[in-house]
Amino acid sequence: MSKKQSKQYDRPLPINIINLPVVTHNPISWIWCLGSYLKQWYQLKQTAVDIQYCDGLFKVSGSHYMNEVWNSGFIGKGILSRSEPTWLQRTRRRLGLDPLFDERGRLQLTNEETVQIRREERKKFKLKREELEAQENHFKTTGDMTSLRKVTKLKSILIEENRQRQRKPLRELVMENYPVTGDKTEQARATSNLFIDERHIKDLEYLQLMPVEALFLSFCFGFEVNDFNLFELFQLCMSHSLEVDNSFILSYIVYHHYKSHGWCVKSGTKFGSDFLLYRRGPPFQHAEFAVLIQPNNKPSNSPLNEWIDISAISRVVGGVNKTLLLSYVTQPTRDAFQQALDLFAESPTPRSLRNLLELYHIDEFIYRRWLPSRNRA
Amino acid sequence: MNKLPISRNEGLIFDIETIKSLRQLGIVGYLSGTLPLSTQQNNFLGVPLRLLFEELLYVTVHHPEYFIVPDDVMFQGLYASLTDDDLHRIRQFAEKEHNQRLETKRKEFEAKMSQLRTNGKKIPDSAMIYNTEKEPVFHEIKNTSNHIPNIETWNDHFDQPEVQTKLLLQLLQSRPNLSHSLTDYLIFSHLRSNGYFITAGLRFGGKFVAYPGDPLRYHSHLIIKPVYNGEKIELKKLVNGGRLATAVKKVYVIAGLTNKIDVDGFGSQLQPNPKEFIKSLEAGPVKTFSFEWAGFG
Amino acid sequence: MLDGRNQRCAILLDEEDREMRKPYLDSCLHSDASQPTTMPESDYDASDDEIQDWSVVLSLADQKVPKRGEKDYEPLEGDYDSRNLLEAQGAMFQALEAKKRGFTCNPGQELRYTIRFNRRNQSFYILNAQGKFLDSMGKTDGNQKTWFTKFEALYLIERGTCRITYGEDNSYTLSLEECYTVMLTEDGDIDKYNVYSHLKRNGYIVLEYTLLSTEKETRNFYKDTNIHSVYDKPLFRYTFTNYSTIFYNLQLDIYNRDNVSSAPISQLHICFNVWKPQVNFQKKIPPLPDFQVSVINIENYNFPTLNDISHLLSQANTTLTTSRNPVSNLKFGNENVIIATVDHGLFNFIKLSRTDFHSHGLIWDDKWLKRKHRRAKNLQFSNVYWKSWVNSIRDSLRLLTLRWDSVEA
Repeated sequence: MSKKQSKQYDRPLPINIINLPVVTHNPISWIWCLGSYLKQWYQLKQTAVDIQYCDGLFKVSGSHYMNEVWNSGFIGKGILSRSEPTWLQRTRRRLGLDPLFDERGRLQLTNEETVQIRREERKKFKLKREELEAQENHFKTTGDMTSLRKVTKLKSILIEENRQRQRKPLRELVMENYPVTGDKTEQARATSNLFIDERHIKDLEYLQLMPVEALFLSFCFGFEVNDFNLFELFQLCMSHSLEVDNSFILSYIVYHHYKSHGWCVKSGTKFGSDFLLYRRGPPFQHAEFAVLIQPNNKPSNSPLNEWIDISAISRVVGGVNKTLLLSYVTQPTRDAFQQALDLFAESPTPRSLRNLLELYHIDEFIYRRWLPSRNRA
Repeated sequence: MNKLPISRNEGLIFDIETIKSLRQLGIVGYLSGTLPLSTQQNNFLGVPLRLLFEELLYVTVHHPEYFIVPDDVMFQGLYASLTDDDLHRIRQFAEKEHNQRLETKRKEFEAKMSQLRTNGKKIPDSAMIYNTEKEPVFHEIKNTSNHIPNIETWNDHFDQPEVQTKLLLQLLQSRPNLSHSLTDYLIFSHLRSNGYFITAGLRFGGKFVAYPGDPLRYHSHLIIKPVYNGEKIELKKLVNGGRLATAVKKVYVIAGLTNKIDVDGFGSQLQPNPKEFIKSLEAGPVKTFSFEWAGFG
Repeated sequence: MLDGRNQRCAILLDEEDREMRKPYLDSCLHSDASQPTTMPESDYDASDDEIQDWSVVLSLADQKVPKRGEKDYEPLEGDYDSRNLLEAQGAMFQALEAKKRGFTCNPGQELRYTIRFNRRNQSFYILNAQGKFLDSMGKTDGNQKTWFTKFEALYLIERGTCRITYGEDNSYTLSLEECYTVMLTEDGDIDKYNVYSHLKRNGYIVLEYTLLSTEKETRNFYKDTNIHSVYDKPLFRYTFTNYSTIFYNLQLDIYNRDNVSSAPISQLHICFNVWKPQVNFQKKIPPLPDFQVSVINIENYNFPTLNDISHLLSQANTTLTTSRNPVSNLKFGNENVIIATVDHGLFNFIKLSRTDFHSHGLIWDDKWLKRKHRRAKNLQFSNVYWKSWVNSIRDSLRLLTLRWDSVEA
């Protein structure tokens, strides 16, 4: 992790703090500390970003605001990007408005560009392999065993080569295959109304928030969503069915639980689960856990399919080296829920929402496949 | 011998000839017992071959030369009916086998000794004689009881159309959810009639896994998950299924019936001829959809 | 990470099978470069989708079998395919019949290997039993009778160590088919037996479940159970000097389990206590089991509810693996139970362990933001008293701002 990134992502939550210098036992450092405190306190500014709700989506627009939200705990998703909103950056580079290498000659690739390079590589490898496999089949049917052996050998060489290629640093791959420079033809293809002037283009991307994220920001950090008060926002997220077992409230409990324990919580749809937990965030490391929410009284049509589904999820999650976490959320009684809900409707404050949420309980279990042949020693 | 023994509604095949003939029909089952050849491992197992419910039903419906024998009923009846005469015959049979075994051993021994003698070793005559009294004895546990003389009569007793119908009904009624089981079965038979070999697929994240031929030779192509009547298909699970299968070079398939199976209506329709009824269900189309994961943006 | 291949080499553990160890060629068992894809996770095994090359096991019986080509993706025209298929099937059937099931003993000794079976109360014993299997199986009473559970008895018969006879003169040895039928008499027995024998074949010591000790070993999570949320107004109206405090303020009180009913009701129960393979196992005073296994038929039972798991875990008591890495401890969890899910004889083992993110504490670490302050570094005293002074002053400073802020607001 580069120093630059570490600095860019120095807020795990959308709130600024006063960063005290290290205090030692020397009285001079206290004074220095006090000075630093007062100075920062004077400058301390909290920015609350406005969230727009329209067409059933929670949006944050404008590069500055998007970064503000994304950089404080990796909240939201750029709709034209994999995760971090990088569309503007990528497009500028594609149109030749920005160089591929920075002033120190370092490669500046976004997540999407890296993936694309790797994919191209993989596609090429697959084509070659397919060719060899077709030959193999040909020799199998004709019964030409010597040629078959030759081709099989070629195939294993190819596989080995590919394995080594995958270890190559990206920079080398880029130099070999992708002499990406400002592309004039691309620029010509882009519609003229994309450009503000010769050097600037419009940012078409916005950051989309999951409903749980929108509620979290509003509930804990006072972000405004249109002009809803907290209760109205809650109602909206619950799709106006204010039931004790509404899946939104279960998700929110789980989201808030992990978020408030310092985990970076992202959507788990990619892996068929509800959430992914990162130690610090996607740029720093891969997710450690995939969370599956288990309501405590779900209706079940078929026991078999339930087992199959969980087994399938665990396979996908296990295949990418994550641990499957089952979060069982126990609901309060309908009456208790209704009572707290009425109070919340009466005074839509964070405290009454908190009282409502604290009626729930959470229990956590790790699910993993156990192989007798691997657990004997 | 084409009998399919069931014990407490589970198809368990102990006879290796039957296992062979089932394999020719594309019914692979699952070997679940300890293999005498190597008893401390789980990669290669021996009899009994455990059949899936769908396999058992498929064979009974489509291959009338196979018939169900309820082992629990049969052996109880057998023990109750064994006369002293029968026991005597069994004893004789065992003795005969034992003597045969000794005979082979004796011959081996003598051959070895004379071999040694011709090679010039001096061996006293007394050592040349094989002493059957002191030699260790091998006690065999047979796979099946087919050698027992009375078994044939019992088989004949069960191999009657009306008895088979009754047994089949019992088997169907033992299912915890008949409508689901029949859906599974119809998907199974749809795939089987399209040439696929099918095994259970829980560990791959499906109900079945389908192979283009004998699983001994080919990798599987499909992971199949049934969708039952009225069941909602969650998008997240489709994403997951596609990812799962694509990662192992397979295709994720969801399958269901276009016609609703009316469970309550079964009672009367099943009664007279369950085989024909099930065959008539097979005429109704099974719909399948395959999913492939195309990456995420 | 353990390599599956090495593990498989060590499959053959039993004394009696030692001579078989040598020819057990792990390399031909599982090296398959062209396997389409294998999942790169330890819990996921190539064996799920691998070739079953029966010629490997046949080599144990000194049978000459041609080495076959690898598994193909799809059938092809021509006799390459049909020949390979015939060979593969042939090897399998040959292996099934290559050795007869049974035991060899001196004349007159066979009663030591004959299990007496009372059908009425389903009890099994051997008089004057002998053999290595007694180390981890059976219970011997004062009358020289060693009693076995039905799973133990059937397993001994299936591996050819013992037999059951019918009739006064023991002349009629029950076939395996008969044993399965007369011994596994209850619903679910066959599933439990399959799980039992699978574990035994892997070398584990398996006994019927009993609660061995009520004293539970629990992992020491570092505890920080204080919840001191503010929540009266948005957090940015306060001033903080680190993010940990903010996280603590965000936490909801949803972990307190006092009002959850203490006696969960469930139909599930633990079936077996399981120990890793070991010598000198004391079956009379066994140590805490390494694993506990519950057998569930997936056609009859839903995926466990919270009640089910709590119920199972309340019966469970096993040794725990601990790691120095706190996140690994989160992943290993605390109490655990293994569930064998059975689908017509095919089964998967799943380990469910209770974990607790709350008592683990924050994953966020303020140190991640620490920047170097060169000047401060040079001015260090080493006096404990100073340090505590400093801290208290710093804390009161923080409190002051908090109050001030609330007044202001």
